[in-house]
Amino acid sequence: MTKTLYADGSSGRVFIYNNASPPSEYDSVSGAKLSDLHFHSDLSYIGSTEIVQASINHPQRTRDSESSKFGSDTYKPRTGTSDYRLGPNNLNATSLFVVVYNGYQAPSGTRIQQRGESIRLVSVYLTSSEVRLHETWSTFDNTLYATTQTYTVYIIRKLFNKSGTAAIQVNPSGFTAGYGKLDTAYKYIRRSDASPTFYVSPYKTADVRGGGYKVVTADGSSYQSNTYTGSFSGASSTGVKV
Amino acid sequence: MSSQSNGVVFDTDTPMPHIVGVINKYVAHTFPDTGGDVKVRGFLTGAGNCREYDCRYERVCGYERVCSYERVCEYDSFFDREVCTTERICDRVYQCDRERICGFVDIDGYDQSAKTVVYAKEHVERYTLGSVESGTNPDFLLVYLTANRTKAGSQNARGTFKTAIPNGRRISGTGSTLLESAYRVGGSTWLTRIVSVYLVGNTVKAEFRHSNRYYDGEYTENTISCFGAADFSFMNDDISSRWGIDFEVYVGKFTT
Repeated sequence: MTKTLYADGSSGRVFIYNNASPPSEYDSVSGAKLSDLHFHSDLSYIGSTEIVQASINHPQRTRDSESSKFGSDTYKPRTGTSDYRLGPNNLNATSLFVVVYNGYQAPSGTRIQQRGESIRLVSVYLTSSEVRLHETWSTFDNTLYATTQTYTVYIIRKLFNKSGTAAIQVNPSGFTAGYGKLDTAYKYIRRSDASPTFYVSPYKTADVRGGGYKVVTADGSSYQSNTYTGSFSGASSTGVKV
Repeated sequence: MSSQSNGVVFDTDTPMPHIVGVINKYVAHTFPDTGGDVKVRGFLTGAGNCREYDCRYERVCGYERVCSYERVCEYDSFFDREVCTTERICDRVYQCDRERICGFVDIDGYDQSAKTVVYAKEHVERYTLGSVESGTNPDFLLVYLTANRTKAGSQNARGTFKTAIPNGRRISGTGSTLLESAYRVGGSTWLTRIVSVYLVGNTVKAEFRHSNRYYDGEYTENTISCFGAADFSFMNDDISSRWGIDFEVYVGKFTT
């Protein structure tokens, strides 16, 4: 198959497409032509991913109970929150990121521990300088024992803006094209069906029915509450490699 | 294209993801209160639990010596005048009266307890967050949420519904996000609320979905009420929650 690399020295625009049509057809990127493109410097790429991984020891949360006049225990709900630092955010607070909770690409607000009615839920968030974990715990009929969980966060740089003035530049230290959009200094995220780092998808990853819920993550992992009565089975996703 | 330090950087045989559109939109959504009731049960406690200050009138009867002075006059013919004297005259009289008698007395009370029930409901509402150019046919979304729960649904016996969404923090919202949940004794989830962001053609939608099964609570709030039924209306559960969410959606596509 013919592949064409075109560089426009005046605009700095560089693109690679999968046919021998005149380059003028790809000067501007429109919806229908996207499927012909291998690369176009007007597009916004993602990559140069930073990886933050941390194991957090979530401490024991002891239930609160007292004896009732009928001789049985009565429970009082206890609840609280804690925030943990997972690592530095060397990019910025508005970077894209993907979270893997203890090996699963679970949704925010995910449950990491449950004993009876007592639960522990977490979400990862970014600040301008840190990757942090927010924990909400609630005890009722059981104490939540200490647990260690591992979190992996892929922080993705938005390669949206052009820089420099070179349409194409090759030197011993690297290659750049399209005013810096294509640069060997970056490590772009690419599709990978074999052993992907994580998955992307345009679909829902959870459903609720009958009071319960079912999660089918983009990586195909599945779990549900015993009260779920729906038929959600998840949807296809695409693996990518960092 | 590869580099010594980064390995393969770009390969025309490997599709690369890129962002074809960024959509920002704020949505406020209220999950409904599904309605419910408070059920009360009670039984007589028997005497000894409650006392009442009681007054009554009693008829009190008895003999009483009743005396009075009477002026007794007689005509004295010798002096031709009337002579009067005062005499004390007494008698025994049977007499009755009503007396008010007050004091504390034991009475029956009511040992009452109450529970809440919440009616089952499935609820879904969808919002359009935005679209990308026709013909784009995106392949994936990367979604970020900055959410605030401005009103938290709750149960009297359990407190507010549990959430791990930190107010005002930027979290991942790709796919679905578990907003709130509530559990029964034993651990069964009886209420769950989620928000999902997904693609329909070239349009990005946000779907707020709620599900709760009929919740039949445990009798709690044991109260001994001495004078009529206790008021348990404070136990009524308001399970409505309100969320305001800033959606930040990156619409992505793979190159060929």
